[in-house]
Amino acid sequence: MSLRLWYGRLVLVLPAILLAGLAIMSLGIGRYPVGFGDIVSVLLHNGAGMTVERRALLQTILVQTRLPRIVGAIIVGAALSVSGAGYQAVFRNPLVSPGLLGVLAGAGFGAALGIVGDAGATGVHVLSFLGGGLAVAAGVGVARLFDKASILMLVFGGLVSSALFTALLSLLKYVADPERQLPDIVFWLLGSLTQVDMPDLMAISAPVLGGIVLLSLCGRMLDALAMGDDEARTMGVPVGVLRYGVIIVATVLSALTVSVAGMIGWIGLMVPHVARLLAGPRNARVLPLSACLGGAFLLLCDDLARSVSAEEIPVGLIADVLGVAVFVSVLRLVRRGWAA
Amino acid sequence: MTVLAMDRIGFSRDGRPILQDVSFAVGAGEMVALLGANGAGKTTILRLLLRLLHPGRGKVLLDGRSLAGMGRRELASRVAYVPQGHAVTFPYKVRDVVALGRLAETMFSPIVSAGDRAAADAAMGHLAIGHLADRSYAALSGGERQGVLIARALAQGARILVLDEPETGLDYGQQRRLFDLMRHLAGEGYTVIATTHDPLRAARTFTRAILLRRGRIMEDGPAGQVLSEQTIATLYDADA
Repeated sequence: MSLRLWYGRLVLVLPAILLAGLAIMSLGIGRYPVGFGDIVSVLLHNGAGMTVERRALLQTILVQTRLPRIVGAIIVGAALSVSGAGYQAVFRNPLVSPGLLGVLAGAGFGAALGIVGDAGATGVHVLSFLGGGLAVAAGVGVARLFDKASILMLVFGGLVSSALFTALLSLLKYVADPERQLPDIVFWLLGSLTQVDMPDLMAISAPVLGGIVLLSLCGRMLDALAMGDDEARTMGVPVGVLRYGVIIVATVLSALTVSVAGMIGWIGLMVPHVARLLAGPRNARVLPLSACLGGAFLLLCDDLARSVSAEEIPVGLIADVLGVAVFVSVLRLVRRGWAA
Repeated sequence: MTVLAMDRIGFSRDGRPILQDVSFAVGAGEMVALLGANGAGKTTILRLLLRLLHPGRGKVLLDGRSLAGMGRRELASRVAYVPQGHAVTFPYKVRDVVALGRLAETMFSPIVSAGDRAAADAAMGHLAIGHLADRSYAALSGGERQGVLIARALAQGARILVLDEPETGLDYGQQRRLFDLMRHLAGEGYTVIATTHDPLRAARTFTRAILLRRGRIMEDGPAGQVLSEQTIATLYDADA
């Protein structure tokens, strides 16, 4: 009993501590390695005892260059993972990812539209976010044309919407200026944290944190939903409000990440599995733990992205490859709990 | 004393009548079997009693109040649904599944409180399935799952239990234990309403049987009397 209780607490607290440690370690990684002592000195003592030039240099590297990137990686990874866990809960399916209802295709289309229309960096972010929301609205709308939006029809709506916005994205690639705009679109679709800056973080961190907390609070209701809609209803759960509410929050979470970091897909599918493996299926634990693990995972990927070679590798690629490797290796363990 | 009643209920789907002029009143501690051929309207009645469907005509009354204006959580604290022992995708522990019964009380609390845990343990203890608490629900047999879902209904605090063909998929011994349990609960004052496909066992176990034929009540009375060979044959169109 007490052992289980301890494990129950540690499994939530330890990853948070690990995440914090990883974040500090990540500050030291890069083309200009910085030692642990210097990191602590600059962050906590404002670089006391250093020469003026060195203090200025380290502050630029650590605070202005690396810190936004590290915070960005954590926020984006956490948001995508929680979004995936939320989708998996409302669709009662462990193989669902945040892209299910078309948010990624729509956001990709929105960003490409911004690039082709020379909308500027902010314009691309906003259009991408709106595109993601529009695609999900279209998917849900198609589902509701047929019936009261059962899970099956929602999946169908998402397929249709994804196909439509992928086609529109292809159209934009076709008409984009091949010298100037097409490379931008392609690079953006690979997913990268190089463009993340402080204003971006200011804009997305509050809604992301709010969304994570909100979804976590719904954890037990999502557990009831796992039993089936009718059962959840007879246990007092407002099923329709819950399902659409979670879809809206999860969609906003993933659309926000795409708008600042492009397409980083796999995390949302893979991380919740690891969280469930560690903490069991209860969503009140799976959701916050997914946030923690997802943040740590993407941060690790981004560390690799900016340190493995002299030329930076898009973090989306690394996250996909590493994500697949992790997923395949945990699948054997995870699958044990799946029904039949 | 009447706890749950249907008053001249009519229900149709896509213009096709499913139930016509169905009225009955169930008293506390009664054990009512709903019988009828497939498509006779048994499940529709259960779903109306649980407010998973809304009647086209007439009213469903809980303690004399219409279900239509009742809050979700209030209804959940009065009437509990026991579905067939189904598969669940995620590997929840039995204790977690039972504790979900407490959800109506603590909707937004992310943690399972000591009170929830105690209620879940009490419900499992009551049904003598405490030994299953740490097992994965998905790994249980059909009979064990049915027991867990009944425990969840008890944890919900409801005094009216609505069961959907609870014997489905159970072997003879499991069915027998299940029906004994239902009778035992009725003896404790729980009101039990169940659809069933087993008229012979219903005649022996239930206090009352309501026979449905083509959306209308054909017979309603003490199970042992109503379920004669003749009515059973008519009920299932098995005359020949």
